Amino acid sequence: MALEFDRAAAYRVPPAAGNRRPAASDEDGFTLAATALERLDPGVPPGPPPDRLVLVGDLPPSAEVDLPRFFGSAVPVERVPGGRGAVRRALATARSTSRGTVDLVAVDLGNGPGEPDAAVAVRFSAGQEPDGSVLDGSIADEESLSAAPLLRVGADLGPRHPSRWLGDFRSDGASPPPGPDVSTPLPAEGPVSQGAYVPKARYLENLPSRWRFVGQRCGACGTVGFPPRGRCRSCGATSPLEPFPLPLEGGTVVAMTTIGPGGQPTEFDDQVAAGGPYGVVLVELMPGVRVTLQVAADPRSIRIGDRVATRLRRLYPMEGEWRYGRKAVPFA
Amino acid sequence: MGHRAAIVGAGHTRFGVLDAGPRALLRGAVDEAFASVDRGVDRARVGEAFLATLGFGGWQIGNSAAVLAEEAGLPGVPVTRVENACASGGSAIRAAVRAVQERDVGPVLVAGLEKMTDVTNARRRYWLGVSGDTEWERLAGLTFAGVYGLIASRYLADHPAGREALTEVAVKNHENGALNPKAHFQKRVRKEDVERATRVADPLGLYDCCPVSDGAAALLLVPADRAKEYTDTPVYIDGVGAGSDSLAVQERPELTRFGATRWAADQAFHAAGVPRDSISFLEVHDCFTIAELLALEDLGYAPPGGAVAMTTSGETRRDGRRPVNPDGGLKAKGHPIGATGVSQAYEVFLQLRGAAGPRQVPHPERALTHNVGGAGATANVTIYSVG
Repeated sequence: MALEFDRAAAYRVPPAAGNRRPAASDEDGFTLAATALERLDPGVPPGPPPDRLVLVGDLPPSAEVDLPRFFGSAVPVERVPGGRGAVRRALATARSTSRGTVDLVAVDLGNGPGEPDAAVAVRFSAGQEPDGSVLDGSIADEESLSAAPLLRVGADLGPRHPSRWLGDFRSDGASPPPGPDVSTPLPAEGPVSQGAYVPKARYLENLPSRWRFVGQRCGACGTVGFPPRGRCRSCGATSPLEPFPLPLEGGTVVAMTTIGPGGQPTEFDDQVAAGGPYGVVLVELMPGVRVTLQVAADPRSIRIGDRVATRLRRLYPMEGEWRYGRKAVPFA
Repeated sequence: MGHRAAIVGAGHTRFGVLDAGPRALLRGAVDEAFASVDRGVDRARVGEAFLATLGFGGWQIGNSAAVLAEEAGLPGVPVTRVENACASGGSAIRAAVRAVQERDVGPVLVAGLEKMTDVTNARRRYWLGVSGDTEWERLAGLTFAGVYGLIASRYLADHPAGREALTEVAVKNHENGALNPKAHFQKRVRKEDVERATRVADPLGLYDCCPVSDGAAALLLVPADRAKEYTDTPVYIDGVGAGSDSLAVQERPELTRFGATRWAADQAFHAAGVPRDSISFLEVHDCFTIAELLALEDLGYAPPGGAVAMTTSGETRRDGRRPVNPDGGLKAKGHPIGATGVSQAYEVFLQLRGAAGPRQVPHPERALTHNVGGAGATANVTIYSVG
């Protein structure tokens, strides 16, 4: 069979040694899906969000709320249940669109030996002639092909190790048990000290800047600032202040530190215990506009003066939920 | 410009990991301050009191200044808590100078306090971070050591010889602290100890960081023209300055210059009407070794990068041309947050009166204190003279 689509993008994380995801992994189904969607639409600013979102595979339930937040839009979400023929059903659902665009996101947390964690995002547009790309049992371009066995028509996607959705960072540092325990809760209040406590309302208020680096530009003096505030830092004007998307890739490291054990806010204790010291960089996104980011890679792989890319990742667990934000990785 | 106010008495507890609770610490520092006034101060004449404290650990965050009135034996006296994180002490002195100037309230008491070592490790790490930007810096996994680590990394990238200067700051301040019987650390450290220490927030290691300390300090201030009623050797406050900057360092155009310090210094020197070169010695806010280098530059004693040579040449040693932190600084003396700014003035009081003992700077006439809140969000600079 042949399936038409506008474009596709894939993202995959190579399997860790022994096919266990590192205990300190800050990736999950949501971050994989978000990264694939970013690759689908890498423009700055990104184009308009899809009219519908179809999800299939290893995504935490919270992704149904978080992915529309990622688009900054109330895009309707349809979750296709896993099991035999899941991808086929998801494709059929996506293709059945009669108007607008649909993004299909499929996520597969690698299960067998050597299987990568992978996500594929595909955009379908109603009423459009196929652009020549043909999905016939696989995705056309080579990267997507290698990353996306899950999109082979008829692949089964089931809730296999769903405890990974939330369980990797549990406070006792133990590895999550395999099996069907979907509901392993995070500690209700997180670590007691709350050294980096940000109330949920403040976190949600800042999501566009935290997840997509949306800054602001002052209509009066033209100054670009980050994060957005109610008052221009330069001229003090309170209006008009327009959202200003900043680049997600290519910023320059102006300062860097590596936090040794004991130097971290307590929210990051489990991360340090499992993954060791982590890097933090101050990145200049454009002249005079800077953001502080943790490094989602070996700190030794980044130096002052390097350009970096950024990815949506888990930051820390707080009040029973994962908080997400961008982290820096070496620029390819 | 004439003198604005005068210090006629000063007290200081030992700094360190102490059994004493916050009330006992306050009582100790205040009683010593009253006892130090040559011709005495009648407590009944004290008109106002200011308490500098962060409220570390949450023991008593609200209304803590009332505790000062209780422990100082000043029932009914108007009290105010002043809080600018690590710059609370300098800010409280500034408030007291204004109170003394604005109306004849009688002697004004300033006390700085922090009790930091009686809470669990997790709570301590929380409280150590509360004065920085939470939404971006903390959420990226930074504490203050991490923020100063970022600043130091940039400084060393711009001035590669700087590592040697950071080490010298630690060695020098420990050497001074070894002569201060009230210091948290009264021992010298070797260069190699500093360089080989565990990295806390690269490039900063353990010996680049000030300790977590308990302690209190207190001052008695009067109008300058009344000072000789209390003592023959008052220490005059000739200029006070204060400034602020963005809470998060990511929003500042320059990482290695603290605008708050520069603004505060300009005000203080303008108010005192004296040149920078007239200052005999400095007490600067060296919460991390990098902060002492930034202070020397921001206060106008060295151009950007110039603090490296100034430090490694020995100029800032106790016997150097311009001694810096003869009491050991925050680095060795300790840094009980709210007490620090007041403690700096206590050292000035001793030094300018020639009463600093083995760590005495030779014949100082004028001194400067520099007190920073967080990573430069607030700062105070104060200029003093004697005789």
